[in-house]
Amino acid sequence: MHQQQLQRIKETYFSTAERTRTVKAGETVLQQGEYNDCLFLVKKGRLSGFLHNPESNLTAKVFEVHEGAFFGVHSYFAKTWESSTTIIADSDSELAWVNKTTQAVEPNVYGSLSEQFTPVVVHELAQRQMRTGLQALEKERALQKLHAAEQMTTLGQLAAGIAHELNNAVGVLSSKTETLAEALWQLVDESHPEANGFLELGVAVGQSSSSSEVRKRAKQLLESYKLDRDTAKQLAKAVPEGEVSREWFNDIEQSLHFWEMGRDLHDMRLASKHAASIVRSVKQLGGGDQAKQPDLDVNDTIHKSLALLQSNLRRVNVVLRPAVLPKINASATELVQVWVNIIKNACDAMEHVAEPQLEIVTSYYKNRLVVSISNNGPAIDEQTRRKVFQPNFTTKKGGLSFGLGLGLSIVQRIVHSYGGSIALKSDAEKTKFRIKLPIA
Amino acid sequence: MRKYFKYLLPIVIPLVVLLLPASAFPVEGLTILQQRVIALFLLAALCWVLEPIPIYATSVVIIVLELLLLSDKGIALFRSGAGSPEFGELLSSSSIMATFASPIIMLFLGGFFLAMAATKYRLDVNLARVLLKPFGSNPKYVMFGLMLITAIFSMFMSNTATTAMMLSILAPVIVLFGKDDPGKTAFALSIPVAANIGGIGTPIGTPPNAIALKYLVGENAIGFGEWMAFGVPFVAILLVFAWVLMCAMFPAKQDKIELSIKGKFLKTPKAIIVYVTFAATILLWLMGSSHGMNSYVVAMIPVAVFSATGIINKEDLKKISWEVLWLVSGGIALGLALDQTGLAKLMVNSIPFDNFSPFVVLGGAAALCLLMANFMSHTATANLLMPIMAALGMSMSSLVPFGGGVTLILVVTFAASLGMSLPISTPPNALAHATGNVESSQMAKVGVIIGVVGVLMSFIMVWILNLVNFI
Amino acid sequence: MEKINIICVDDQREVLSAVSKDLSALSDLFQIEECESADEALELMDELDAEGQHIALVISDHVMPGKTGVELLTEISDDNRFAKTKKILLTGQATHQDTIAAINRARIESYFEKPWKADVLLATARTLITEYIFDQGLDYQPWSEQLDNAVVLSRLH
Repeated sequence: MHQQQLQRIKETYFSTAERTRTVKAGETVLQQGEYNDCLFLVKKGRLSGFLHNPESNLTAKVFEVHEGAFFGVHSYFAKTWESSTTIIADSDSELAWVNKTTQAVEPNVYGSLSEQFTPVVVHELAQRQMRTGLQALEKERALQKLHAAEQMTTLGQLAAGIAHELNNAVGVLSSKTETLAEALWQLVDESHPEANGFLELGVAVGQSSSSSEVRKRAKQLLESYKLDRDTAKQLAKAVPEGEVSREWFNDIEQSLHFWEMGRDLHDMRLASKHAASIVRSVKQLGGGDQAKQPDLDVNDTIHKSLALLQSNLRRVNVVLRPAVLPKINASATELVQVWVNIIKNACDAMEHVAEPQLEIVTSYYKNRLVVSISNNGPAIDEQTRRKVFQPNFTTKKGGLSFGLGLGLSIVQRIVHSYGGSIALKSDAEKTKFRIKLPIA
Repeated sequence: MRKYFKYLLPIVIPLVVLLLPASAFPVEGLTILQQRVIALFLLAALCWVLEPIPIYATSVVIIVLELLLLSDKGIALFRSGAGSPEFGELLSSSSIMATFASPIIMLFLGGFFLAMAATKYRLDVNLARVLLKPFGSNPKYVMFGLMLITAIFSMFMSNTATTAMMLSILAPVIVLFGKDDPGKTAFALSIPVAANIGGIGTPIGTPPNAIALKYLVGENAIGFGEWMAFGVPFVAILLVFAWVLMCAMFPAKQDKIELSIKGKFLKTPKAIIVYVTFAATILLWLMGSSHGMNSYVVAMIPVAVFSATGIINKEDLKKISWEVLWLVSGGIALGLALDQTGLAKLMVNSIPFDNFSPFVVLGGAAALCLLMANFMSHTATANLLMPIMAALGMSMSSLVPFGGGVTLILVVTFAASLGMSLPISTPPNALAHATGNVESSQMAKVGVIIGVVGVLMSFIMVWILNLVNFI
Repeated sequence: MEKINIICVDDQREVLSAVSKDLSALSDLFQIEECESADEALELMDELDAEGQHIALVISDHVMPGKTGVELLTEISDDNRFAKTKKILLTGQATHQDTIAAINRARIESYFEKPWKADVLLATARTLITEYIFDQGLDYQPWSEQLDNAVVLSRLH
């Protein structure tokens, strides 16, 4: 009905040759503020409307008119006879118009001119409002994207800052531990040369047996060497198996004391190494180094990710099956980010699984690297599966938990930027992410 | 106003009785001391029934009032008429005080020590674990196993402690039952029922038994082993009856239940001392007097052993249920006063019981006792009734063909333990009711049936005992 | 003399040895046991209990493979045999929910965050062991030199 009315108006009023003209691209059809008593229909081509604000001296494009759309609506129907925007043709266009002298056709059937034109007015206004709404939405989305990017950058900067500070502290601890160990060594060498071996053993091996093994061994030592409980336990830690050599018993208290010192140094060394490697990973994750390196081993980036998530993976059984992979040209930071996000999600999904298991397999097939990461968490349903890669989608209630994961949308973005693909499969047994990366 | 009755009545009524002239009583030759005893008896009865103060406190009050009003070391004002026949014979103060350490009390103390040591060294839980195994997982048989163990334990431990332990073992299992499964009720109810019944089995099983022993002296004396000889079969038969009854009334829908009790038997020297002492004490009790010691003396052995070895330390001593011992002492003191002043004999003689049929007397006494035991503490019931029953039994010659006083005392004692139809009847009932799985009406149905059947069974039992010339 | 045990549970061996080292002042009078998992701790407790020994204190980490610390301590507090045993959760990674569970269900006496201060941990352990000894009705005198005097005085009062 509406379409027919519109069609009739276009045919009746905008088909006469004397009220039709063509304009060249770039030609100004109307000037803002100047006289205009015409209502134009675009028969061909495209034009844009610009609004100039004299106070701020800014000009912005406010609308575009395409084939079949009207302009000059405001001045014609509001009868201001003054153009509210400047209209410039974007391409060569053909325009038809009516003006205030145009008479109504068949007014006895269709009513007066304004009555006949009401659908045109309403249609045009509605179209313009819709356009404004869509523009606002678009703007909102852009802002959100910007915000997320900003968040990521801040987090990255924060991480890099912390990493730098920690690195210094850990560095001091680690180097001083070495110095102290060295000094202690010399000291013992001079004062108790006979005990040097115990210290050395402690530093080299530490406590290698588990607490239950220690208990068992202590019981055995307690009986065979007639020791008191505490001594037996310490000795069990120091000498986990086999005969206990005679030297230990020369001065058992002192021997164990030196072994313990050595063990503590061993633990300190281990702990500082551990801390250093974590700091290194965090720095890489957050640091600004997005630079691609030509000879990156993907397996290395997976190892780094696992190290980074060590505490999350404490209760998870991790199975890693790496294949020998060709080196690719990629940024280690970005790939680590991809793996960390996926693995972190897997850990969260397996929170209530009795025996959580994470399997990572890498392979090389037809010029593509394939990394598949699967977990035995609960199945992801079809609906959720479709949405996981959308930005701002989360199944985790309670908002932002400070983690390293920044969402699968980022993962997807990174993978796509390498020309790769990511796919998710899920059933009751396992949930699997498969990432393919081209070898350029 | 009504709520003040329970405070007013126990004060006003005994005071009135105390102040009335002797001629107001329809009894010939009532002495002043006897009149005081009547007042005290009424005070005790009203306090134990209405409970304005805790029942053990009533006991202490009675003992102290006896010392003040009836003893030879009482207040001088109340002794002014001493010597004259109308006044009566004053009681010895030391014999009143001795009720706190009467052999009956010592028997109970021994029982407490055994029970405490068994609990502390987890003999109870571990025994329950081992003993429950052969009963499989069919709810019917598991329930029987639970009842059997509860009954056995309550013969040596307090009924309340046994119930508490068994209900805690049962709690995780009851949760597994369906929402409307009657099996829940059966299980929760089976424990207090078994505990109450089991208490009948030995003299230390429950205080009324011990109070009865107090009146079974001289040629009527019954030893620990002898008591068990008839008590245990009685418990066994009534227990099976209760089991069949509850299985029929509340059939479980669940077809399998698993009880899991954690733990291992302790094997430390102290634990072994506990096991050995426990076994030895029971053995000595069962041997009767063939070794020369009576059960009261035997009861002191575990007290000494556990104290000396530190198995029961001073913290544990504080946990002994002294109130139970005091409650029993008060009853004994009341009985002492009734007996020593001659009031019991006088009352019994002044009522022509001999004209009544012995069946009426036996039936009436048992019914009265069962009724009282349902509404008040079993021990308080026994405290009140036992001295009267003892005097009545001695004086009624028509009872002699049926076994005399012993018959009457045993019937009343058993009836005192069979009052279990209300949550307030016994602490075990209250515990089971508090689990929320048993409704009062269900408890009432089972309790009344078992009470009546139990009393009838006790008649059959004394009849058989009489047939075999035991009494 | 009764034997009293302190049990430390942590899946990281180095942390475990650090904890027991911090408590070593107590090792003359009490036995300090180390366990690397919750199940190992439960098994050991079962064994010690069967030997008639006391378990005064359990100090556990939270995040461990298998049972978590909160699960372990809940199980202990539900076990009649260990009704009086004191419990400390020592962790750096418990969530808000875990902490609530630790207090409501496991009924822990104390909560320590990693890294912990050795002297504070030792003092807390002393206090809790003293309370255990009095709760258990043991004679405190044989251990008096390692007990928390304030608790002793208030309990004797």
